[in-house]
Amino acid sequence: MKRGLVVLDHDEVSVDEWSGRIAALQADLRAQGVDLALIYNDVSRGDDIGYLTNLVIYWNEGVLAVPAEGEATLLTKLSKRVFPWMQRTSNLSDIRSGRAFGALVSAHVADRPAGTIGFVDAELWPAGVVREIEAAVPEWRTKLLGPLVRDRRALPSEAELSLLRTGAGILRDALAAATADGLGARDRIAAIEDIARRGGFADLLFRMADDDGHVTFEAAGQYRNGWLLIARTFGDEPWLPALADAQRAALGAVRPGVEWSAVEASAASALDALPPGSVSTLRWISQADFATGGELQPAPETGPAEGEVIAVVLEVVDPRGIRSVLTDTVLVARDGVEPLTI
Amino acid sequence: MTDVTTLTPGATSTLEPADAAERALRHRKLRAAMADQGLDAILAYAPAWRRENVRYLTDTSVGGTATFALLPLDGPATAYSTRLSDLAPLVRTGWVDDARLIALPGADALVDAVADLGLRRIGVGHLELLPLGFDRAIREGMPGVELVSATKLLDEARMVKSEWELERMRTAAAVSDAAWNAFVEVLEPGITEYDIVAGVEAEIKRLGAEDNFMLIASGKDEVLGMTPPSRRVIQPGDMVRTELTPQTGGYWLQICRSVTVGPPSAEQQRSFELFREAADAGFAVVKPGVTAHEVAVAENDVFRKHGLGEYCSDQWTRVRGHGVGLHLDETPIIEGNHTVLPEGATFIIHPNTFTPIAGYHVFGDQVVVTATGAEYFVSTERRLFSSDERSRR
Repeated sequence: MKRGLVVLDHDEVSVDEWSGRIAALQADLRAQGVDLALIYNDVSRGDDIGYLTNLVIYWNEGVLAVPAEGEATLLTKLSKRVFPWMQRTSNLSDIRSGRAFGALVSAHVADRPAGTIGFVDAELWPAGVVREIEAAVPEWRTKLLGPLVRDRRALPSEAELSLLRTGAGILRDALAAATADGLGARDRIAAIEDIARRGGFADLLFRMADDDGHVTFEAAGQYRNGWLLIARTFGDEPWLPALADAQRAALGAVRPGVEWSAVEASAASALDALPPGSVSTLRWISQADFATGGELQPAPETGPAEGEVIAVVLEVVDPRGIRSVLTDTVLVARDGVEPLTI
Repeated sequence: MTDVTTLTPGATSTLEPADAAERALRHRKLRAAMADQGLDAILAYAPAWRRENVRYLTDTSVGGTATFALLPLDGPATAYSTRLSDLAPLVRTGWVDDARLIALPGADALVDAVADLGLRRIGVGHLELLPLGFDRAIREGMPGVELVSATKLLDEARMVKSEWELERMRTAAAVSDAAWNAFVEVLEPGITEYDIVAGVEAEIKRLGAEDNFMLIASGKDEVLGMTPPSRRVIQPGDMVRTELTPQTGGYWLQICRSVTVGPPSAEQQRSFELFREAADAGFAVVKPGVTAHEVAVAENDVFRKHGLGEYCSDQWTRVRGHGVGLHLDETPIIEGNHTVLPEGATFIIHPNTFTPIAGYHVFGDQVVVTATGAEYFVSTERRLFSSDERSRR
């Protein structure tokens, strides 16, 4: 649940960039013959609406209505009492509240000529909400659209990169504190929470496993609207340093568009140090899929494009069935990678 | 390298007798409800923000973007997740016999399992939130299978807490107490709202909290409600309000308090007395058989008695309390909701709202309905706190 700093700062991302994001989506809509796009997000997956408006859905669900021409409108089940906060922390001026999205959409389009409504990233929409909206506006055609906004989020702007670098610096400090000798597993997470949230992180999602002192924690941290992924394993096993060697080799092989099998091959010799029977996997995740653990766009075989921010995830399951993970976030540049969280 | 997605989790069940008894109790309750409603199985779906039903059937903290738990009328429970690292904990916890990886949007493993069991009518928990991709895959992969909502069925099953659950919630309550102490401890003029949250989060994670839901507001009588934290710097004379809800062992445990920065003003103290009276009035009527409506009326009547009834409307507030358990916002305590509160139900009584006395005020505690009334979970004092207490310690 979101409970870190939420702020709209035009010194960080300009008014022009915000309006440009909406304009780019609107151009896509016009190209696809869509008059009104609807974007559904919830508290656990709110990045499309965040990218377009800076609004943070801190609880519950929301639908952003973006016409092919004109101003975007947020349709929410949250009370009007929080509208001033929503308007203060986003680019939205038009926010409408109600108990059901069907009725909200129906009221929103009441003074418009019927046309085509497009459901953005339709596969992820609750089917029941799609049916409810279709039933509420029977005179409108509907179209299931792909991940129009998520695709655009994959390539951060200079302003977003600057924020990611700032966030990564905070996370590196937090990691340094969390990896100090002698800390218990919970103390490590507490150190990251304290430093990252004081640094302005909006969200931190943790997973931790403690198998008799073999501790793995994985964290996704949100700084403004960008995400950073890290994972570390602590333990006494003599082969654990091989993960860092393999990661170093893998990162050295990452180039824009590289075949991922070539990156895997570069890391293979370092992983020879793993105990027999271990199973390892090396994958990359787009920053647009960090909040969802890489589950929306699993394991691409071709490497990322220049300018993408990705996480390189090295995961080992040893013969005991225990996981070890080493994950870091990097920027893919023309000649290699710029480490962000290392 | 080997594709790890083909790996069978290297985990075995370690279910303790008390856990096995709790699992059996839940299965009995759910299977009785299935029989009543003509269901062959319950399929609990969990998007990442509504995991309560999957937790109820697996007792496992999962991280997948989408997870499912399947309980047939006969036969073992199984689980499915989009996240590989969920599988071993799901099996190791011992509440399900098998856990399998599924991909968005296909859910092939889930479709195969349902087809193998020959299920014809399935109640789906949170069917209303099932993504279009899964919905299509299930309906096309299992032609002839009827999907109906089991959201209400599961809500009702979870409403009455067992002693096993109450024990977990008492553990969670200790974390809530510590969270409030941390909140007061870090509070001082000159820090920001988000600094306060950082201090609280670090402390509750140190104590083992899995997650937390928290809202905050600072300022004086202009404050209308709570939100995530801002860069606002805490000032002398402020009242800082929070709703803290750490999650421990799967269970959320909420506490609502307000603290003044420096000594309270007469208005802040008067506001507190009003909210304390309203919360006490709500608590006083709780016993098995009363409705959520009656609790809300008792709270709102206090505001009406003081000529402040208009501030109980949805222009100024949301609800007068709500259920809290494996989810943190269940059947609300609100006028007009005639849900009967049984023994073992757990909810928070919080008359939080705006009044002109001192702005939005937050005060409330979570209770369990007992045979004769109700009991509080937390031990934090039911009073208006002041940051001055911190400097005196």
